[in-house]
Amino acid sequence: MHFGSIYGEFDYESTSSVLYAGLNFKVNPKLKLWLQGNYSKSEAAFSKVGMDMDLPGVDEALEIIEASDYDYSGIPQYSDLSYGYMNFNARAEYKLSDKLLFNVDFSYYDLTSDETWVYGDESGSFTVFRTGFTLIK
Amino acid sequence: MKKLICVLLVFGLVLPLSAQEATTNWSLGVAGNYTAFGDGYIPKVAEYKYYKDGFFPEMKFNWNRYNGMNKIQLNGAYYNPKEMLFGGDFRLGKSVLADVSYKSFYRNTQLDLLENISARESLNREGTAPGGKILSHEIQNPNEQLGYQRQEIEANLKFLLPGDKITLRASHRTIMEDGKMQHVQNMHCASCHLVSRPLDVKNKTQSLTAGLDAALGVADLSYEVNVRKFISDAGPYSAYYDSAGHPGRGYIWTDPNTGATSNYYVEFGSRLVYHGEDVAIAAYPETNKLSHKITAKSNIGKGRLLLQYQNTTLTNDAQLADPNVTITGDLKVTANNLNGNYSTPLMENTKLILAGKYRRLENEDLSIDNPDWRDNRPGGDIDLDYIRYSSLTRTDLEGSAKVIYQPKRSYRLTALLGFNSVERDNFPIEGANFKTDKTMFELGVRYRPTGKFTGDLKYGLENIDNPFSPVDQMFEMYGRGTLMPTTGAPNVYYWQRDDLRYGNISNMPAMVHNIKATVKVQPNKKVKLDVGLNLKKGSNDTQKELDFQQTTMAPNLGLTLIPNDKVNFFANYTYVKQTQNGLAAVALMDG
Repeated sequence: MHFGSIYGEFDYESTSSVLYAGLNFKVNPKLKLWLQGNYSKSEAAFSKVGMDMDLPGVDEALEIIEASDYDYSGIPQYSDLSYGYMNFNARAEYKLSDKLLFNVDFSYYDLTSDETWVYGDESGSFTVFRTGFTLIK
Repeated sequence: MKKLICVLLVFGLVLPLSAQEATTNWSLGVAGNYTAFGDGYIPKVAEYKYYKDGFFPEMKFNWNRYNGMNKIQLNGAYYNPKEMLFGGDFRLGKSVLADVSYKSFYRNTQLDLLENISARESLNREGTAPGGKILSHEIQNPNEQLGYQRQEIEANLKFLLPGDKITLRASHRTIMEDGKMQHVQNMHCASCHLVSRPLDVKNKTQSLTAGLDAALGVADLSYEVNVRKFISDAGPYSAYYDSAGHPGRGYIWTDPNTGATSNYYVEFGSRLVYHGEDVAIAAYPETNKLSHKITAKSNIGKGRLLLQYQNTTLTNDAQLADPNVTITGDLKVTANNLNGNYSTPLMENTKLILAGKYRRLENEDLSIDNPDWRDNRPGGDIDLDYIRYSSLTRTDLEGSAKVIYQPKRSYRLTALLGFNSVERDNFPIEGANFKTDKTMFELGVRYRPTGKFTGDLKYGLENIDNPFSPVDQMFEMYGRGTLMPTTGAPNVYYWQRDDLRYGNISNMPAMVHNIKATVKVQPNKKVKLDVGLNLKKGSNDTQKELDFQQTTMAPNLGLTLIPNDKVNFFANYTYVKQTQNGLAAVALMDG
């Protein structure tokens, strides 16, 4: 019932890029601004898996085995990964007095998944808006 | 939280500060935040975000009081019911140092949809209809929120005894995780069915450390003892495992041609440890760790010597809930670590650093008593009891010698020669002593003509003898006519296929070349530029079936601009690309 193994070589490639930038700006003695953002892109993929059907004994095995399919060329797509992630933050701080500050913050997060796999389509986003006061001594 | 408040009150009462000389400053911030989730998938993009949207009040505070060598610092931030942090630092003269903190965050976890595990045998034995072997799955409570809150409380205390030579220290740390996680039950036999269900997470880890440091003039000595315990309060849980049967014919089947009846419930059931019954699932270990560490530092000759010895014992005191299997022996790991380094001037402008490490890990052997395989069946009653010899048991030796030559401030040369040997006593079988030896060589140069420019270049070479690999696992030999049924058995069974396996294919390199280059340029206080490149090439041509190649390339770029005291700009870009090859192998078989 066992005729040995067939095997094939494949390549696996993964890439990841991350860009991060920020700007702090003091507009005047009362007003300060902060801007920050980061973007990352990650991908991974297998090359096609082609079995070596010329190995000794394979022809004899295929004649005896009633039903078989050794075409694995479609497998790599199961493991393809592709993510894009973005985050942006903006903050403004205004000095109402020497002891009192007012701030406004805005943040945006976005993830895009170009290849669905184990968890399905993981694309999503959310935003956060914040305002507040700070008392200083 | 209550423990934290008590600690803060205690320190407030015992640390009186003089009002005349003390300075106090504080800040208090109150805010509100509104979070809005989009229509898409949330657990990944908001992995560390409290999963509720809407309005939340926020609060931040800082309170600091200084009086000479005395100080109290309190700080905290509250974002929502699951995300907050509070802490305090205290100092009383030079004798008492203490800090305490509480941190909490929430982590969303994802639900594996199991949809990629969906397959069916294409044809039956006769080739006349779709086959009966099917992989399937079900998700129970798919809308249950998965994730957990992680809370951590930590407190540290240092007390310098009068005489300024001996310091006592103590620390405590508690980590608690509460929430729900996905558990996947893999049903064997007949159905090949996966069942996903959300189960509670209630983990608690507690760690207590006490130590003593003594500066004796001739040498500095330290002793530390640590006790750490992990336990889960979730469950216990159990799940029903399907009864054994034929995937196409069910439990009992009569051959229409011969009239013979096959009872697959009995036959296949005799090959399983359990079936048709509730079985315990998702059991956590209950681990207890005790470690002792001794450290000694001293000046020897012109150099400085450091020696450290650590003994660790780790046990798992959880009881196995399976009544069918008996495990005899202690679930216990013992580790002994000895490491040291000696740093000394070798000659003018030259320094030598010697380092060595010895580690011995021993995982106790366990006797596993299984039910007889195919109990009371023809050619059955096979005893599959075995002794678990752990592949964790090993000896790890490491040593290196590094020379640093710096004749001027503007450039420095380094050279390193090192080795590492790992011997696994029981891999792949008892007493096999699988050994991997690594030799390392590294050359480095730093050029810094002025404070405005720094360049570093480093080249490393590793030669690995016998890289770690699974043994006799990759391929199967031709087995037709070679494998025979055991005495009295009607057929050859799947567990006998292991005798056909061969091939030690590793994805670990036998030779590695590594180049790292960085350049930092800062022409003035307004501009700073960092550029770096990391190249790594690994290969292993000792395997007949695979010429393993692995390449990694990672450039990075950083820029900081400060044109005036009003503007500050910074940016950083990193790229990583890795390629490697591997083998996919399948067995040719006709069932």
